[in-house]
Amino acid sequence: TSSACSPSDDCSGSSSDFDTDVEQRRKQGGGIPLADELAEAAPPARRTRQRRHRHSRSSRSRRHRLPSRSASSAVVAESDYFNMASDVTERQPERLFKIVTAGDAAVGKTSFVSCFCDDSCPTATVTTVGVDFRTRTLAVDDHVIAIQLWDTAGQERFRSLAKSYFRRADGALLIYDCTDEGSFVGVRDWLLEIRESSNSEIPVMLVANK
Amino acid sequence: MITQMQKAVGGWKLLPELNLPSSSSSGPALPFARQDAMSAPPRPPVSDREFQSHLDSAGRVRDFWALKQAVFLGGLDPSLRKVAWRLLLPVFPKGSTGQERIAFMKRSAQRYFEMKRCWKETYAAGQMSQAHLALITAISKDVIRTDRGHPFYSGGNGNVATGGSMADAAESEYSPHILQLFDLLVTYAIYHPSVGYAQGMSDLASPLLVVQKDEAYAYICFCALMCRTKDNFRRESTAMLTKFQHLHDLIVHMDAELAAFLRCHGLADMFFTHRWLLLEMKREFQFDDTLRMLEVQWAGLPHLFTFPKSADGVPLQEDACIGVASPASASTSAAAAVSPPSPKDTPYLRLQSMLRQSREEASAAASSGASATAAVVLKDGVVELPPPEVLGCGNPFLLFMCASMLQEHRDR
Repeated sequence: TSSACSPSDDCSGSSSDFDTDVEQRRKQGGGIPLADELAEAAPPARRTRQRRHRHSRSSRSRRHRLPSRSASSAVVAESDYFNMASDVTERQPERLFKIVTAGDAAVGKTSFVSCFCDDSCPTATVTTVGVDFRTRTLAVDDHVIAIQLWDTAGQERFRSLAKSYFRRADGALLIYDCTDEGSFVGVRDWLLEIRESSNSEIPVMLVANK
Repeated sequence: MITQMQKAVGGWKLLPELNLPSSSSSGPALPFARQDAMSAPPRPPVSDREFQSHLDSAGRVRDFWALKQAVFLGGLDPSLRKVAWRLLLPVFPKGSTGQERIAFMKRSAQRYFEMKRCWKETYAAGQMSQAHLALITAISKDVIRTDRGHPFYSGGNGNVATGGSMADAAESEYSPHILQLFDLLVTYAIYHPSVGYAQGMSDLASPLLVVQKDEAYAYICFCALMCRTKDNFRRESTAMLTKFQHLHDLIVHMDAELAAFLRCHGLADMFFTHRWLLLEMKREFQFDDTLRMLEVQWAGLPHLFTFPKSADGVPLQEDACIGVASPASASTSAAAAVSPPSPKDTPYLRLQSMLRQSREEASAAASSGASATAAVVLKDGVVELPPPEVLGCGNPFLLFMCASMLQEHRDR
């Protein structure tokens, strides 16, 4: 199961979890629903709740799913944002949110990001080295926003560099592999790193993957 | 690829404008900083016949610089890579004959298999330390994600063994080459405790295994490559920070407009080039083009990297780890005895001290900044770049390739 992303329903499950969550927040009228605030590592109950919604994908509205795909190259992604012409939304995003992924190596961060930005799951990914950027535009209520996902490397050795990404982030997706206990234990360290490195208390969403 | 390399070489043409110190004042010069070489178009790859003409009757390389210049400008014929890469990496000491090289490879391969047998026995006996088991888990996760699209690594059903460990995986589960890559990396990590394993190493080792087609030979080449690049993988990231800083300086120097663009988008710290620098562009090209790009890059390294530091050829393990890996170390210690690097190697020591100084400056600058985390000092102007042996920690060509890639996007 440590292979990046094998059964496709698992991956769409993750993506769906996120979207479901987004939609729920939206319905609750919670403003722009970006990420959930977690005071500390979430108990498994949270995961159960997400899992319940895994198969709800087909039944829910897709009206706010307006993907804008972009290349993973940093430079291209960056300029994509600034020239993001509205081939999809017809409107410039009102705001760009920078969301950083975090979590141990091989928990599926890159697969998750690909699922979210491309609506399709990669059958194989490569180890992320440094950082990759992906952007997706979403229409939420009457707002058009762009989410720039910074996909970071998981290995502990490169955390001193990963910290610089947390510093500029508006939120973080903290991902663990629910088949790997070690990656859940690692969540605590990641939370500490994020708290220490970010300038303000940024929202952190815990995601169980695989 | 050729176009990209031409552009990269085009970047190289900027050298005279960079106010690089002359060779007399800064030690050995870059091999190709001469005007004629810089304006020459890329030539066809070095053929077998031409390669032979660079060797004397005993197989010694007559003029290493002539050979490296030919490779730098044209690359190698694919059939030559297996042998010629060992010279470029470099594996062999100065003045080695063909027979000496063959003997060295055989001897080293034998030693490699002893080292590998040793940790495998320790593993099978259940006596492996937690740290080493963690290495094995990490490497297991990465080798199955390394160049899997390449036919060399295809095959096997690809299912991951329960528990994520590959050390006791059945042969049928993986391509044999994936298992070789795994064994090679584990052996390296265990016998180089100061380096260990870090993500990205599997990318560096993979082309070596594809070209050498032999696990032990690939290991020897990997040791040679890591001698130069291991600082990139260190936890404290100072070598990487130095490279980010130098790349920033280079861009500011070469193309102020581009530098301003990056700065206004918050990219001036160049952290987004982490993968380019760490893997020396290995992931940025198609696999076959990568092989050409790597050999060109190695051929363009400054003089100090022409031969291994040790007079015996590249060492296969760190001195400090003799006996560490296994309880059954009697055979290992004997097999693993390597003479220590020569302390008389003054050009090397001088380079080390220059690099250290450069890093200290970088870290001093970082610590004086507002942030406690690693930082690159953003500059408005750069008058003088470090000398070639220091620029990019001894691989200035890599920085020029990065700059060329950025300029390509900029022009578009």
